[in-house]
Amino acid sequence: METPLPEQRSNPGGPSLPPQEGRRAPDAGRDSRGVLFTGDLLLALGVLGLAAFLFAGALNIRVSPSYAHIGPRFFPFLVSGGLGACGLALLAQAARRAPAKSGSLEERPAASGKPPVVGDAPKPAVYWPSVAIVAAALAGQFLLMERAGFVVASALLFWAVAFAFGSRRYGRDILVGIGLAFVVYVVFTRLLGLHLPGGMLTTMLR
Amino acid sequence: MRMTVPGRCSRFVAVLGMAFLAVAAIGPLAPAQEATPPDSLRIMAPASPGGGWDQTARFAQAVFRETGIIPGSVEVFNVPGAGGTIGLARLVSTERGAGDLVMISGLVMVGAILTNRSAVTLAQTTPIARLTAEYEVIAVPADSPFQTMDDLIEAFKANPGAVSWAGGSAGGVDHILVGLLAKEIGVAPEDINYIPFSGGGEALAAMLGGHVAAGVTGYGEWAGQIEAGNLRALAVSAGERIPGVDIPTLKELGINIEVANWRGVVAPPGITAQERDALIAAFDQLHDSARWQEILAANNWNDFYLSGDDFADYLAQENARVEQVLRDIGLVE
Amino acid sequence: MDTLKLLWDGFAVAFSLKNMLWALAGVTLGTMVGILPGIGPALTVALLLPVTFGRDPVGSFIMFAGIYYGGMYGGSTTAILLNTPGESASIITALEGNLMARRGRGGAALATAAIGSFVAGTLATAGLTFLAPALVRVALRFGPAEYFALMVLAFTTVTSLLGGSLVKGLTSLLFGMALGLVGIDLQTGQARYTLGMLEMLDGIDVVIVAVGLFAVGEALYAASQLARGAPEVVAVRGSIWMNREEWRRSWPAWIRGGLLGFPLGALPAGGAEIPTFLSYSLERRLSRHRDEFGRGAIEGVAGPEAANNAAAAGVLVPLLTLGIPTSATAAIMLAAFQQFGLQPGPLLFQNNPELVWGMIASLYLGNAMLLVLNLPLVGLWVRLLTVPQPLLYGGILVFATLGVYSLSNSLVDLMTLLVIGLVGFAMRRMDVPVAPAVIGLILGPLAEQQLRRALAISQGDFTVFFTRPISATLLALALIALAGPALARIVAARRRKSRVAAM
Repeated sequence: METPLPEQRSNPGGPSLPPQEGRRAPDAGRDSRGVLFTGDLLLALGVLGLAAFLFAGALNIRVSPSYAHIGPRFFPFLVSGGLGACGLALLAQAARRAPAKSGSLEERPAASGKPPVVGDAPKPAVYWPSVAIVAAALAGQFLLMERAGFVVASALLFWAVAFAFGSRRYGRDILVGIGLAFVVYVVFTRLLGLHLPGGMLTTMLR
Repeated sequence: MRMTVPGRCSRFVAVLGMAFLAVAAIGPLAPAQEATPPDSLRIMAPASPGGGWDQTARFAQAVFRETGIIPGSVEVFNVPGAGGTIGLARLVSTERGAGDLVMISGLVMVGAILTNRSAVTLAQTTPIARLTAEYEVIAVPADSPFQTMDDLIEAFKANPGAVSWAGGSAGGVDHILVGLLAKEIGVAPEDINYIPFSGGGEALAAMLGGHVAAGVTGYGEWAGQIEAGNLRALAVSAGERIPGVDIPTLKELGINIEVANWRGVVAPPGITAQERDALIAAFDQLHDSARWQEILAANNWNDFYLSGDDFADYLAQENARVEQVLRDIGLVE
Repeated sequence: MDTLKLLWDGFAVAFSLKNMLWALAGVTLGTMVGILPGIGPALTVALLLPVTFGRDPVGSFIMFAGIYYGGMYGGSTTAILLNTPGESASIITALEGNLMARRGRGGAALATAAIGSFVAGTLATAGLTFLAPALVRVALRFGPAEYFALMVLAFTTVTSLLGGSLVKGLTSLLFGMALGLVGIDLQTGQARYTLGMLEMLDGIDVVIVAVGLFAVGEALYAASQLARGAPEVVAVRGSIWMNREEWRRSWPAWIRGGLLGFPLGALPAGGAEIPTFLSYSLERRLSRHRDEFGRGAIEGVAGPEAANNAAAAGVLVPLLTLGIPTSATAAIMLAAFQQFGLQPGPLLFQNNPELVWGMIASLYLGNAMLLVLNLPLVGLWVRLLTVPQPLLYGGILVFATLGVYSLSNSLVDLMTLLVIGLVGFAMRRMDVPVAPAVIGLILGPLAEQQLRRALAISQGDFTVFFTRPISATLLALALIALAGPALARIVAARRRKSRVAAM
C-alpha cells in the first residue's frame, strides 16, 4: 500500500513502551489534551503527506489524447487537492486545540464503526504490547501461509491472537486453533474445490 | 529513436526464447503422439473462478479425470490478476522446471504482457497447445442508421470521433480489433473513440440503450441479442463463416482482418523434452475425446487445436501483430 | 393473467421434492458463505459450476439462486454481531447493527435484518415477476451520463455518514477514493500508483479494505483497550426478539428499502451497495429518532438490509430479460446459462419457460426457507457474543485472512490487509470514521469511469449532464440532498436568533 500514514508507522513494530505490569489498567488520566494534540497533529501531517504523494504520482501518469478531454490524471489531482485541503483544516484544528483547555472536547465525534465512549471520557492509553502481538501474528500469517501451509499458519495466528487478548490457556488455544483451521481447510478444499496451501498436510491427506 | 528500444528488446527476448525452445525440442526426435501423458497434472488458471480461463481449466480437469487420460490427481488453482501476468510471473519464476504444471493462456495475455510492461513474456514459457477460439462480432443497436458494415465504415472514416465504440478494457481483444480495422481502412488509430466498459454486461447495456454508436465483443456474449433482433451484427472476425451463424466475415467484406480470441496452455520453462512431450500427448488425447468436443459445443467455443512447435510459431506471430496494434493505438510506447 | 398462469406452473416445478432439496441446499450453503468475509456467492457458484455440468439445469439454477439469496442474508450476521461485514453490501448494516448488538439488542438487529430481507426480497421477487420488462426499458435509458449523476447523488448521501467531524469524515472518504485510484485506469490502460507491483494492477479489492478497516482494525483496537479489562458483554438485554416499538419502527423501513433497492439493483451498472447508502441516508432523514443514529437505530439496519436483498432480486431483471450481468454473481450465473446451452435474454422466457418460472418461483420459496432457517438461528448467533474474547478474535482473524487470501491466492493481499488494518486502528484511535473510506473506494472509481465515458461519448461536451432529463433530475436531487439540510439549519438558526432577540 502507498504511503503508510506516519502515525501508523509509529505503532506496533517495536514494543518500545514502558513495561506495564501485567494487565493492570494504566493510569487512565494519562491521555490528556497533550496526547490528543499529538494525535491530531500526526493525522494532519499524515493526510498532507498522502496528498503530496498522490500529487507527485499523478504527474507520472502517462496521458494519451482522448475525446473526454479529462484523462487519467484528473481524479488523482482532485483527490489530492481534497486531501490537501482536509489536511490543512486538520492542521488548523490541531493548532487551535493545542493551547485550549481539555474542555474543548465537545467536538469529539462518535467515530462510526464503534460506539461512542459513554460519558465522553478521554480515551485510555493504548496497551501497545497486545496491539504489537496481534499485528505480528498477522504478519506471521503472511510469512507462513505458503511456507508452512494454511492449517499451521492459521493455528499459530489463532493462538497468538488469543494470547494477545490475555488468554493463558495455551493448550486449549492451540487445540482449538488447529481444530478450526483443519475443519476450514477440509471444507474449503474438499467441498468447494478452493485451493489453499496445504503445506505438510497435502501429502498426509492424499 | 529511443521509444523503440523496449520493443526491440522484448522481440530480442522472444527470438531468444524461441531459439531456446527449438534447442529444447530437438532432444529426442520422437513425435509427441507416442509419448504418454503425465501421471498427475496441475492446471493454473491465471484468473478468478468463473471467467473463461478458469472455465477452460476446470473443464479440462473434468475431462482428464473422467476419461482417465491422466491417472493420478488433476488439480486446478487460480492465480488471478493483471490480465494473467501475475500467474505468468509465477509460472516462469517459482514454478520453473515443474513438469506437472500447465497454465491457461490466451490472446488477452499477449496484450496484457505488453500493456502492463510485464517483465516476463510468453516467449519464456514452453508452449503446449492451443485449444479454443471465440470470434469477435461488430454490432450496432437495432435502431442504428448503419445497416451494413460499409455504412459504419463510411461514418467512421468521415468523423472518427462521432463513432463511439463500446468494448472491453483498453488494450483488450475488442480494442485490438477496432485498432486493426481503423488501420486497414485508413483511419488514424489514435483517432478512435473507444469507450472501454468493464465486463460484457455494461457494454451490452450501453448498446441496447443506444448510448454508443457501435460495439465489439465476443460473438457468444451478444448472440442472444442478435438473434432476438435487439442488436444488428455487421461482421464477425472469423476467417470463414462460423457454422450456423449468418453473419458475413470481415474478409468477405473485403477487409483483410482475422482475429481469434484463442485460449491455450503453456508449461513452465526449463522442463525436459520428455515432460513437454508428455504434456502435449495429454492435450492431444484431451482434444480427441468425445467429452471435450461435447463441452466445446455446449459452451460455443470453436475448436482451434494446434500443439507443439506449430503453436510456438503461432504464439510468436500473434505477439508481433498485437504489439504493432497496441503501438498504433498509443497504448504501448 | 398470463404471468400468473406461468408463475403457477413455475411453482409446480419449484415444489417438486427434488427441487425443494436443491433450494434448501442452496440457501444453506449461501448463508454459510455469506457469513464469511471475502467468500461470497459469486465464488461459490463459480466453484460449483463445473460440478453441475451435464446435470439437471432447473435444479442447478434453483440451487444457484438459493446461494445468491442466502449470501445476502448471511452477510448481515457477522456485520451486526462482530462489526465484520461479510459482503460489501453489508457495510452499512454493520454501522447501526453492531451498535445495537453492543447495547444488547443484537437479537433484534438480526431479526429485523432477516425479516426485512424476507419482506423486501419477496416484494422484489414480485417486482421481478410482474414488472421486469417495463423496468428494463427504463433501466436501459441509463447511460454513462445518468450513472455519473447517480454516483453524485450517492456521494451526497455520504454526508449522513461522516460522523461528528466533517473534516475527518471527508478525509476518510477521500482516503477511500485514493485507494480506489490504485491500479490500471480502465479508460486508458495506464497504471496508477501501483508502486511497480503487478499485484496492484487490478486495484485494491473492496473486500480487503472492508475486512482490513473493520475486522482487523477492530481487533487491533480491542487489543489496545485490553488493559481496561474485557468489556462487559451484554448478549441480550430485554427480549431476544424485536419488541413492539422495534416492529413499528422496522416495517416502514423494510418497505422503503425494498422500493429503493429493487429498481436500483435492476440498473445495469447499479450494484447492491449504492441502494444501501441511499436507504441509510433516507432512513436517517425520515426517522423521528434521528438522535439514535450513531448509537444503534433499528431503522438503520432494517432499511439498508432490506435494500440490499431487494437489489439482489433487481439484479436478476437485466440478467434474465437481457442477459446483462450486473454483479459478480450474475456474471457467473450468465456463464452457467451458457454452459447449459441457454441464452439469457428475450428468448429465454419463450424457449425455457419451465426453467425461468421454476427459478422465479423458487426465489419465493427460497426466501421463505431463509426466514425459517435464520430466525431460529438468531438465538444461537447472539451467543457468539459470549464466546471469550481471545477465542472470538482469534477466530475472526483466521476467517478474515482466509477470506482475503482466497480472493486471489496472493500474499500481497495479506500484506495489504495488515497495512489497511493498521490504518483502521489509527483511524479509530483518532476518531476518524472508517465507513466513508469504504464508500469512497466503491463510489470513486465508478464515478470517475462513468464521467470519462460520458465525456468521451459527447466528445468533451459537459452539457450532457444537464440536457439529459434523467441525469438532470438526479443532479437536482443531489443538490437538494446537499443543500437541503444546510438550508434548514440556517432557517432554524435564524428563527432561534430572532426568538432570542425577541426575548
